[in-house]
Amino acid sequence: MKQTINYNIHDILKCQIVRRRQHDWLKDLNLPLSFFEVDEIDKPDIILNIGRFTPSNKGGYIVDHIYHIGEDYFYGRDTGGTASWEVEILGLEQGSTIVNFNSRNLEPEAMLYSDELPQNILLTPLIEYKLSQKGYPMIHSAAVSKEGQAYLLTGRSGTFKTSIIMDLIRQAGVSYIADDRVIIHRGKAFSFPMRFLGFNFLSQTLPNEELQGFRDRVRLIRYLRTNRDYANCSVPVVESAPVKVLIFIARTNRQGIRKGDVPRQEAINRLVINSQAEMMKSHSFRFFDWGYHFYKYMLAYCFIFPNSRVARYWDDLRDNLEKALPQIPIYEIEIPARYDLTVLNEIRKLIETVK
Amino acid sequence: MKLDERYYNIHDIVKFKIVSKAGPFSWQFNNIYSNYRYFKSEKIAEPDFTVYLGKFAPSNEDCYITDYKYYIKEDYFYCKNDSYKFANWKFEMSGFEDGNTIVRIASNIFGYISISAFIIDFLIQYKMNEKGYPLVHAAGISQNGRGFLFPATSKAGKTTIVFHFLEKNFDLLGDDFIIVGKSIMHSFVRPSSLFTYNIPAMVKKRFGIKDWIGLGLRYLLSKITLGYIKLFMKLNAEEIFPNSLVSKSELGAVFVLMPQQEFRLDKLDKEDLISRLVTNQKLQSLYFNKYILEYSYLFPASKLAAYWDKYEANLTRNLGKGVPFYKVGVPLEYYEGLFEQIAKAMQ
Repeated sequence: MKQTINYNIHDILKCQIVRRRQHDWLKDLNLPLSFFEVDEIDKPDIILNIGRFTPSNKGGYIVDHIYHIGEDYFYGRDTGGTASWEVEILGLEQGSTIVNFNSRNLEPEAMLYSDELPQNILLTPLIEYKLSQKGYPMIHSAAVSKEGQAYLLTGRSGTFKTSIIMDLIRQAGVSYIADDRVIIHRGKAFSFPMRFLGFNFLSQTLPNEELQGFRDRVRLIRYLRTNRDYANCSVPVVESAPVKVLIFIARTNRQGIRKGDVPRQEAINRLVINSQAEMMKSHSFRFFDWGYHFYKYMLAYCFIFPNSRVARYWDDLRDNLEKALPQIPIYEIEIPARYDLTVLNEIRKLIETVK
Repeated sequence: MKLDERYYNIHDIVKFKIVSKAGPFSWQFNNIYSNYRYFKSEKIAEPDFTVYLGKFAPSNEDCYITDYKYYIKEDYFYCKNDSYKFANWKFEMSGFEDGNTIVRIASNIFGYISISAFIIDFLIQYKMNEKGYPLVHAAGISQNGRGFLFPATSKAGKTTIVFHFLEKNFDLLGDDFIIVGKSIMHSFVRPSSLFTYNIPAMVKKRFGIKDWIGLGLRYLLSKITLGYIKLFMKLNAEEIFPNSLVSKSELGAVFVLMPQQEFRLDKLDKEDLISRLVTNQKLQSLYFNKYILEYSYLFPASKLAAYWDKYEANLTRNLGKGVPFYKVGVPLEYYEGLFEQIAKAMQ
């Protein structure tokens, strides 16, 4: 019995997951995009089919013995962590994209959230890819909203973005837009929450984004088991707001806090590099690192079709960001290795004094 | 503590030094040494970079920290841990922006098998590129001073082609990497990596029972682990084809190998070729590409951040006019007729 799950991302992008009907024991983890779930959509931009499939084998070229590539077509067999899978992507260049995915996973945890794998290594990067193609680039940034304006906090992983916005929401009365990625278009920021119930739990009950020990894990699981309604979350969400400021956060092992301005060109350059670096790592919350497969698939495709849209992707992203990002103040703040109240206050000050 | 210092000189373009502590465990570095054995040299006063193998204490104070594991400051990069399958390593690099480049690598035993591919090979590439000699993931052979370059992704048949043409009295420039100077190919010879699918007939003939058992066990291990562990056999081509090594050759033609269903030969324009060479090189150095990105994020105006742009510019300058470029469709299983067709194209 097949089950179809529909997502509508701000009417910009629609996706669909088709899989064998099953009970999601931890839905927020197994289907991280559940915040966007709707009953029905027309014309999905991306369809992810999970389960056995017969590849249509339109790929005439072979790369590395494991990738079969043709015009607008990709098929590959691959491994990562404890899992091995085969994947077929149709319509990478234009129109709607269909992904067929079948995996085997030896990891015991895979029983609990088996569908996370294809979403992690394919669906999420594909959403990012498609959004940029539509002129809605996504950046690796957290965002909060205050008085109808969006405040963006960007940085590489491990710069306390999530902890900072959790504290801002609790203490400064701001609303949530994003904790990891945010969509930008014509000067506006659009939310992109993933595993939003998990975020909700963390910001309600824990001092920061790290789960401390076994007890917190059990509490998280109990929370996710009893709360399934995204509409009833206590964290206030704003779906979109005009961008007021962009702040780069850099973590250092120096003492003290430094602040400065970032020239716009450099900022855009760094946002593109950040997206590339993010696509080169895994985003799973799980122990095993799946690796950066989508990045590899893109390169393999570019090798065969150097003049394709895929090959232009990073240049296009730069152009799209140029258009999407409004003329706003861009700051940089360097914070010490330990996150504490001083850091939070500095960031609050920075946000509150933006003209 | 006695130090084991070894020096390598690649065509007087890039010189480097590998230093390790001599001791009961120094055999674990043998794989690294044998990779560069063809470039072994006398003592060098000013190497382009020095690699220290073994445990080290990083000098990572006053750094930016990204992704919980990279420590970065100007002209300094330290990766706390990284891994590939069973291999895991930490490494520190300084002085890569100008002058005295020093690299320290500490790894587990599996790491020392693969570290030359992930880090040292890239450093050679980086230094070569700085000096205007891009390294290309390709096989290279030559005859009567006319060289042929075969760029390809992994497992496309580079080694197979090389061994076939060595049998036909061609000379060897390399079966994995080639240094591309101005319309000149410089050799980059290293032991060939062989597995069940690419052992040339000529080599099979010379196989003894021990070799067959060795190969069988490697194959079995790879099957049992579903391809997770793959130990290549190493072979030095000149043991089978003595006097086949040449150090350089004029670039005669470029054939990009592209596995597909059947043989075909198409002309390629320069822009298309270069774009493919760059992509292929990125595919070949995924780990280092990641390190470059982490560094460029903080220092977007650095030399390291400009690496790929410079690589592309070097290729554009060095791949001369009048040299024909082709892409060759090659089937996964090579056959005699295919070689003839490639040989015809080379004429």
